[in-house]
Amino acid sequence: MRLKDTVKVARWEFSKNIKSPTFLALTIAMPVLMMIGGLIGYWGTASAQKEVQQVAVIDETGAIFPILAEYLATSSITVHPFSAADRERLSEEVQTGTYTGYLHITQQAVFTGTIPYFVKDTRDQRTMALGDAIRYSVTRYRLLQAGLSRDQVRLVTAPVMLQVRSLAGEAASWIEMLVPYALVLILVLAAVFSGQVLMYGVIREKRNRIVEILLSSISSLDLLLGKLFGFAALGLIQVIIWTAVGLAVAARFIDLSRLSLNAADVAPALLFFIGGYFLFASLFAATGATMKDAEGTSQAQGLVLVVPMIPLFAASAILMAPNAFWVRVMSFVPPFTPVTVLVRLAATTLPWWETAATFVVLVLSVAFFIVAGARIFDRSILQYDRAISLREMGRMLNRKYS
Amino acid sequence: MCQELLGFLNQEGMMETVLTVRNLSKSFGTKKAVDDISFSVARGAVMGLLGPNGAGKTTAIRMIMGILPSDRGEVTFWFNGTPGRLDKSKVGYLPEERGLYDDVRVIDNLVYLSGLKGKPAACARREGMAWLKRLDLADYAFQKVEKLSKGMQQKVQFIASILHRPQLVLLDEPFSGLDPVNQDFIKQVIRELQADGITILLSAHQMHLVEELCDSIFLINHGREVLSGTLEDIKRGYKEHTVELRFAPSQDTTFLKMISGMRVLNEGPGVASLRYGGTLTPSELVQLLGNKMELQEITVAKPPLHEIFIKTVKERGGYGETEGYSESSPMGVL
Repeated sequence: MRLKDTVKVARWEFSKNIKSPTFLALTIAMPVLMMIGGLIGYWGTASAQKEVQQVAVIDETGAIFPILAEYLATSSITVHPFSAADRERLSEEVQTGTYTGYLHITQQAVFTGTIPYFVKDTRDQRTMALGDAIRYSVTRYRLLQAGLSRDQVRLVTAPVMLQVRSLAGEAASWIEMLVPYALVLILVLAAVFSGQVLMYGVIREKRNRIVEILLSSISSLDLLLGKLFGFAALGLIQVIIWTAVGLAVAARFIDLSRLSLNAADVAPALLFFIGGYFLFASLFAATGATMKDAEGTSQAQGLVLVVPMIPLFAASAILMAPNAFWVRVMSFVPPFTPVTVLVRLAATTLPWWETAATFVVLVLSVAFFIVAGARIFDRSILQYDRAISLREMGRMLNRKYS
Repeated sequence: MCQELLGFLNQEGMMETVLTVRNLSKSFGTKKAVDDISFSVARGAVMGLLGPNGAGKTTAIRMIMGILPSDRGEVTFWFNGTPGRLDKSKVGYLPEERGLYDDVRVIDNLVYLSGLKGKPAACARREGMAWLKRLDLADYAFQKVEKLSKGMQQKVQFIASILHRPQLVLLDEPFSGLDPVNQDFIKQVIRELQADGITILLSAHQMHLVEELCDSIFLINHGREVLSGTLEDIKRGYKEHTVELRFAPSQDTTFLKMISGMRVLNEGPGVASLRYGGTLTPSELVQLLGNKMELQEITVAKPPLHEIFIKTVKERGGYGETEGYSESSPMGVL
């Protein structure tokens, strides 16, 4: 291995690709698309909250409607009292849109706890606030019926919250949770996007035959490492741009001065981020070397690229139980290590030995994938006219393959 | 040590050797692509590696370049007079499968590729521009490669293989895809490189160009050596002569067929084209023919390499993939 050659390739890949339309489009379009998506979501939620709903209420108890009206007085839901005789008319008015829907509260419904709400379209999702209101109103009615005074009822129905604090008395920091989780998302996005540019670059070099010239000048390991470092620099620029845009947008909604990062907390996440990036990038590069063309990607090879992202699909389960046995095992399985540990770091503080041990596994697996990638690269790169099967990839890893 | 010394000196024991290939073999599955070939290339010489399609030329060149691992045998380089392994910075390579970054400017391709061989960028840019000017490509230096014709790309590729001033250049089919004018141009450059002391190993199909350029040839078929040596020796060792006659159309030529070792290839009024493989020397043959008929012109010469190549491949190696290649085609495609 010659560092000089690696640096030459890295510089070339960086300067060539930073001007490429694909990279520019991904780097600029991604934050713009994310902002547009975020704004649509924000605007949609805000406008849905402001949307006035007219709800008709048939209250056969005669006592729940006033509680409900009082609870919803400051909300965008307005309730209107009706009698049971108005049911047919209400059905028509809900159908024509005069009312969003109507509630029918009977003694039986209060007893069973199931209050029917009749709407035009049952897929309508705007029922959460009304659900909270009816739960509160029926509970309050039941307590009053049980003989409690208004003050006692207010006391019983007052909200109760769980406040999580550390043993030192500090409140839970959302930022500690956010940084590793943000890194997981950025890692996957950056690795997938710049990894794909890297993979298509390798396929293109193979297709236009330049790779034979390159391998007549430098070793396959230097070539692969140069590409990885070149694309790591490109990925870093992407991450910086995305993070800067993300923070600029976040500053509109939250006070960023509260965002104090502790180096000791962030360092492990950053190390796993960098290791994960190299792991994914070497996988993409090696996969590119086995392909005949971008269109010819076999499904099996596509699966190879999905494997490291499997922990992301299980992210919510990992967040719920970051120290479960299966999660710990997953942390030591090389392709899953970076994402699993980053998700765990968002949910818990890992013992130092586990952080160190999983990091060693990650470093070793990065080294393995780079060497294996270079070997596959070396042995399949001259097979211009066909894709390499998974079985053949396995055989290529054998030293005696020729 | 003795073997090393023998490797360093070529077959005549006189000239310095730059490249020695010993017992090189390579199989793909059950097919032997290269089967136990050995040769050496003298410093400053041009050696032709010849053979029909699929003979194993490209595989041999790739093994010499270290791009393909060999199953057996060794390749030794003698850049500094001592045996050593491949120093890629001292070797130029023009592969059969041409390739450049088509979305990158011509001059940037040259600077990068020679940079990988160790040439400083400023120097590569300056010399690259000079080469582009020489090969009538200066106007395209700042264009993307994809804008160039195939022939132009071929010339850029050729420049890329020699820009770093290597000691040894391996050219795999350097003339394919070039028109006759550019073939002559490349031929001239190869001669200049040779004059500068650069050693060249080339594989080519254009026999007349090989004949003009090469000091020695190594002919393989089915991966095995069929014929090797200096062009002079090969021609001297070839027993047949071509005989071209011009005479008065009224002359009787029936006796020609009676001469032992004589074959008549073409005969017309006043002209005859013959092959002679008998025991007479050229001067004895000229004398014999002069005694038997009144000649206006007679030419006795060794046949062109093209003919020797085909006949040798047929006799010693079998035709293999040379179907469609006939003795009558002056530049048959192998």
